[in-house]
Amino acid sequence: MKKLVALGLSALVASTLMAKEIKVGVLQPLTGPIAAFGQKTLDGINLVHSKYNKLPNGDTIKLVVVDNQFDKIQTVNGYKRLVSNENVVAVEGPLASSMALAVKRFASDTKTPTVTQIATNPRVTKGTNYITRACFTDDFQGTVAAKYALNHKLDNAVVVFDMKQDYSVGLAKAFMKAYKKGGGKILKTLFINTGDKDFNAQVAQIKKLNPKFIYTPIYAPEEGLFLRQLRAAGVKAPVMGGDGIADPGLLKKLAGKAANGVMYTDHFDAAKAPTKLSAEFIKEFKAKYNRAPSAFAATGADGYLLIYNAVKQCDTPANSKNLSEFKACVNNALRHTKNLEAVTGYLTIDPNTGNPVNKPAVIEKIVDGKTQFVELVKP
Amino acid sequence: MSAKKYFALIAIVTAIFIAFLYFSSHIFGGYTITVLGSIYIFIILAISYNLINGVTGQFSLEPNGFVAIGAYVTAILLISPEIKSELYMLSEPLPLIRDVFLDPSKPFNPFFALLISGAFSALVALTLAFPVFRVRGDYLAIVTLGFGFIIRIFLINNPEISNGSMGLDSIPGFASYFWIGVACLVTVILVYNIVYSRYGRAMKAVRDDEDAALAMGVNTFKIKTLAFMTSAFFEGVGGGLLASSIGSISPDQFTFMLTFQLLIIIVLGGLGSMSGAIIGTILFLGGMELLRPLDQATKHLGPFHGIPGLRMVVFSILLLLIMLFARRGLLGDKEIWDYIKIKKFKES
Amino acid sequence: MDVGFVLQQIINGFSLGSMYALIAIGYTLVYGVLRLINFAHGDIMMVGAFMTFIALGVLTGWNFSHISMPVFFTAVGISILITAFVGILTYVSAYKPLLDKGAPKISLLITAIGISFFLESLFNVIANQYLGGTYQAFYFPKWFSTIIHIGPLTIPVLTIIVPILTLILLLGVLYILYKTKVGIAIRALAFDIYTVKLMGANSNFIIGFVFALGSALAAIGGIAYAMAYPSIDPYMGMLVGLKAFAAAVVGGIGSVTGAVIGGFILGFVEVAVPGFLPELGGWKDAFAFILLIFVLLFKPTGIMGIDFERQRF
Repeated sequence: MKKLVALGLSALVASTLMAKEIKVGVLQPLTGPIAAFGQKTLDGINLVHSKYNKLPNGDTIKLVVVDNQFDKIQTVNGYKRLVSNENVVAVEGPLASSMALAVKRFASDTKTPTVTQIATNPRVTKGTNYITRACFTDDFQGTVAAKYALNHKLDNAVVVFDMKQDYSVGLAKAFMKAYKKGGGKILKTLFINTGDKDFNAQVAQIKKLNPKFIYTPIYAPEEGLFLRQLRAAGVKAPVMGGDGIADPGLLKKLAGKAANGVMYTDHFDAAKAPTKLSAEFIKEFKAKYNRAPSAFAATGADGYLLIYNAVKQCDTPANSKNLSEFKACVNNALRHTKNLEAVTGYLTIDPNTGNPVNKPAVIEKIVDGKTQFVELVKP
Repeated sequence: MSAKKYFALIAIVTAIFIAFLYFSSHIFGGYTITVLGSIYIFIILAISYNLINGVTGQFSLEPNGFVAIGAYVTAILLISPEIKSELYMLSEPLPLIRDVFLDPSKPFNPFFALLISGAFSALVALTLAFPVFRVRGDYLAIVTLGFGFIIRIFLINNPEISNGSMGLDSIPGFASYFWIGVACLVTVILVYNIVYSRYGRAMKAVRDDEDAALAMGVNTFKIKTLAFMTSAFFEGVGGGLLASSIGSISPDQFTFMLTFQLLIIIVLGGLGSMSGAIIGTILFLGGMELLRPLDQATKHLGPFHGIPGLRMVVFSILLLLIMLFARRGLLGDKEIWDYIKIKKFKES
Repeated sequence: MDVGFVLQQIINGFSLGSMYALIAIGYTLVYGVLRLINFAHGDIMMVGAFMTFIALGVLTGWNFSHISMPVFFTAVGISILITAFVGILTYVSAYKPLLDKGAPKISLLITAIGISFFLESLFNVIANQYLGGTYQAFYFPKWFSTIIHIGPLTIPVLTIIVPILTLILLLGVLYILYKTKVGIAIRALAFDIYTVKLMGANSNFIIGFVFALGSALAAIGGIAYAMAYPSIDPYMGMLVGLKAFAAAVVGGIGSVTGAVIGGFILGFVEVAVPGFLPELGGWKDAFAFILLIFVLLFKPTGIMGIDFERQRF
């Protein structure tokens, strides 16, 4: 199927070119407050790139890595540099939704295929044909959490979210929508701010309300202290978070014993490889970096594999497209990706929305200081 | 300098700069243009920040707050009601916020939006000036620093006005490279005229000796407030340009880091010197790029390798060293042409 | 609204307020002597917390599972000494050269901001490079988190100890200021630095002592803060420090008692408002500054009514 599309496109042109380098841009935060996430993403990208960089006709893919410093001005500058100075055929990144929104206009203006591997805000892919997403959206992640709670008869809940994080606000909203629709009752929404350390006011309210379920789509530094204070006050209700706390190391360090029992939704589980490629990736990742790959590394790899697959289809032996034709071809191929074997599972992109179809999420639980797989949830 | 000569000089500078803008947008690629564009915006911010800190000598830490106000006002004015009702995901926008709209496709409307942004910032500056300048002491620094926090908290907690932490996107991109350059030129000329006017001299008098200025009949409260408001006005305009040139804004963008960068710029160039602020901007933005390897863990620098965050350590040491050993920065409180004049005088 | 809830909030307010108070004293002392907002003071508190963490790590071989009281207090002692030394160092390396040159005050304030940023980024690099991450969990003997039940109240031991400790330290500082030679010298210096210098007093020693005293108190505040909310990061001092300065102005900058009162007020406001009016909880970090602006508008001399041109401390 894929080959047919590619052949159809490439049959139009004749080949006289020698083996060349094709550049793919990587725009990630390698410095700044979330540098650790960017670095993990880059590890994943580098690992799959070292394996999948040759194209059938002898061309190679070269990565051009640019740091966006988690700053909007730098993101836009870096993106322009990749597109107009480096002449890349596609860009992977940037990581956070707020930064991905900043490149949206320029992706459309320069018609550059852009794959954002872990920006979960639904608006990122809205209104543009040039941004493709490799992960699920907040809407889905929130729905998964709501479904889990309702399936386990946890039909009233308190939601604690971080006012300062667009991620957290969006996820909380998605959860509440799905939860109410499924018959659950939101007893109260409480909010916190990034950097807060004292959650006694929120904990006191939760204790009074005595909910069956507590949904906390916040980040690990706050979640750690929140859990500690929550359990110290004697609240025993199950707590669930989003992929923002999928950093079990930090969570366990900050929450201590209180981390036990907390659940979160994540993009994939390193102990349960969904595909053959994924199993190899996990094995090689462990060998190279001496730790299990995180969701950042896995989605980073997915983003690269999407681009690689699209470039492979366009860079046929008969290829004599100029850069803008090539980019248009890559974008078209990206948008029509079907059942691509990747690290977090098989990827199929909806050509109209640019979002993946049927991308599952996993629910994980921390038990005795170790991460445990709970279940896989399909849309 | 006679008035005639002065206008001739301004005309020449304007002509040269416009020519440069025109040709550079044709010669350079998209990336260079983007970098130049952000340099122009930072020049606007740096010279207006210099007005309160360097020229008037009042230590203030306000830019991030006023840039945020300018950016949000411009965005709210120029985004159409249809896009707004789609954009505000956390709560319905206030009817006033939703309906206020200056169609950016009509001529002059973006210009009006920038003026309103600046005026709004200046108005907020006036309300801040009241408690702060009434009392002696360095409260301005702490109040403006706190003000930056308050603005961010306001933006985060009022989703019906600002869409909370989600921020706003789809801001019309009227601020092309050319118009940013023109705005920068106009700002430089205006601020220059203020600095070398009667008010400018009064500002310098307040800086050098507030008691003496008071004794000479200068209304120091008025002068300080005026300088603060002017500063805020141009920072608001700069914020509007920034919002339009990037296309999306969120409260996170306007942290204290922005103020700190501007502070290094004006200290590096020489507090009180306009041309120093301009040179400082160029050196700083260039230096940021040069020092970038310090932050990259994968980069090897001789026997060492970069450590994330090391660049900030170097920057703060740099700021300290300038303050300790070259307190006057590159140009002191003089302008670059003052040095050229002195040289000419010696030669003749 | 039950009585238990109200009492609980009052106790929490006292506890949070004492931490602000301990830091505010340092601001007031330095401001009194040099008329300088020492922007780095909040970060000095962070240094205190980090140094305790590192000293504990070294003493226990980075195994934090059982920390005995003697080991903990040794670490605290080491940390207080180092922090006081860092305080003196900031004065000698960054402020003194400028003061000697007779630099304008704006230069001093810029240097203060520079020091603040330097300490934050330095500890950020240290934490990332040697401690394994920006955020660290803070460990201390379990006894401090023993919970006492009084009727409906659940109070950790720490919450009772900190306010008491603060009041004892306040008395100590007042004793130093009014009953010792150094204290008299400090007050004289605050009143007229030039005359004191002319009279042959070693002003550098006295100012150094002020920085050391302020930093030691900030270190204690930082440790108490880290024990109450056991997660430390290099930027933890920035906001807390600014709030503590606001508290010092609210109480009446230049007055040590005022600093403590201002600290308690801020602590109460920050606990009570989100406790009783949850919808205003998002504004928590702004209270200190809003309070500050109001005080400057209506009573610039603060609660203790210190007229800075006439009296101090």
